[in-house]
Amino acid sequence: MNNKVNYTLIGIITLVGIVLLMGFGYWLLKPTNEADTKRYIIYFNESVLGLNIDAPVKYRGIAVGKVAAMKIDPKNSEQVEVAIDILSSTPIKTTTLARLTAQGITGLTYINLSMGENDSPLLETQKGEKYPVIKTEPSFFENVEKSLSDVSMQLSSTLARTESLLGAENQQEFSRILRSTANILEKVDRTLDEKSITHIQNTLAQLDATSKKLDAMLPQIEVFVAKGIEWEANTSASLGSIMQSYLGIRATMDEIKRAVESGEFNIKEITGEVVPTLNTTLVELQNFMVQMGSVLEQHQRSPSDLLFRQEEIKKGPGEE
Amino acid sequence: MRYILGWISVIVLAGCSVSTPAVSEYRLAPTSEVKQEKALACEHSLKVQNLLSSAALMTQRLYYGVGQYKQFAYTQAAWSDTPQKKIGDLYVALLREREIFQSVHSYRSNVLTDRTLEIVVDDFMQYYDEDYKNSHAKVGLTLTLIDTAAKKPLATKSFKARKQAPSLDAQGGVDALNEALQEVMEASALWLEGECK
Repeated sequence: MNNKVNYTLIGIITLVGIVLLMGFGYWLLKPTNEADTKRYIIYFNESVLGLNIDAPVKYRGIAVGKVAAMKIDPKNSEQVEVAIDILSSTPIKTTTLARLTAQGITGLTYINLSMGENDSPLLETQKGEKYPVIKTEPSFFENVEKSLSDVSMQLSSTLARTESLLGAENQQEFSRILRSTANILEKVDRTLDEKSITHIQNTLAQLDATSKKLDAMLPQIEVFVAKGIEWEANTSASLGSIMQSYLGIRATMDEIKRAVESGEFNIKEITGEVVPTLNTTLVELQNFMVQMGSVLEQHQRSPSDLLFRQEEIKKGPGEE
Repeated sequence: MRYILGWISVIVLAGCSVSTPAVSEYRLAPTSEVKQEKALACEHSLKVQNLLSSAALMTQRLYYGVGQYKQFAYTQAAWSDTPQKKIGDLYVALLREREIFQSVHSYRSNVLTDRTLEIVVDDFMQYYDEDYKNSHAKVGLTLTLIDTAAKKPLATKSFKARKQAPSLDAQGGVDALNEALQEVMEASALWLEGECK
């Protein structure tokens, strides 16, 4: 048996092995690109049931990070503070919103980030905070819960009002209204016999015909209105003229009134002299008209008498 | 042209060549033979209105009736004044003469009076029978005394007279008409005297 061991070779191989083992460990523990993350804080005002540590954080459907820690906010016990690590390359902006989203029917939940507005500035750490805080929006269940709560409250209110509406007094009123309605409907039913329906149909037909005639008359009515406006303008002008005449007459009457009051124009004195004379003149005129009538009667009876007296003269008794 | 104008003148003037008989004009001048004592005048003044009559009495033609319906005019006799005007003037003269009223005025006067006398001539004509053998004159007047201020009639009365014509001609008719008119005027003056008081 060869007892000659090459301890040097063994030492070298052992050292090489140790070096390889250390290299393997470094390879395993070497930081990857995923380690280039940034931490953000999210405060949820709702239950984060189903959300676990290392639950994915997705941005437009792409897993960009994971939940790093969760705890109750020490400053506000109704909030849950969730710390997430997100790849630094993810553009988290001030308008980005976080929302709890159910992951199928597994009961698990992940955080979905909405993209926000494209031209919004990137989210930065605010003064007094350790990490940037991403705003949240209510989850689907939260909305459903709120909606159900609102519906429940409104339903309760409606039920209360319905109960008030269906009180004993109102029920009597409803009964009375229903009886009245039934009576009215019965009368309407009696009224709307075949003859009445035919009459209504005829009336509607006539109404339709009247409507058509009215449509045909509308242009004429428009012409009539236009003429009416023109007539109104003419009338207005005439009224203006009448007004001028009235003012002239009024001025004249005022002048006559002044003359009468001052004694310059004594109607009684004037008429006292004129009327009898006028009366006499009219009497004389009447006599003249009678004589003219006599002459015309003679001329009509025998026109030739104007040149040659031809009418046979009937002499009176005792005349030769 | 001269011949045409000459013939026209001859034709026109030919009418003047016709000879017409002379016309006698008669006046209405009734003469009262009754001497009435003058009454005490009442305190009213009177105006005699223009008479209301037919158109025949408003001309100077002297008409006469024959029978019941026919009426003619004398050709050689006429009134010197229209009967309508003359009768009114006669009434004014008579009432002034009788001094029944304080004053009496014609309708032509401007004087305002408190009484007015309205006279309607119902009839004033000479009538012949159908055979021209008999003639008479009829006069009918209706007098109404009116309160001038109130324009209300105070009294009214009709007077009639019929007189036989002394001759069957215009002269006889005028005489009968004057006589009948005198009778009517006398009766109406007495009536007015009673109404005035």
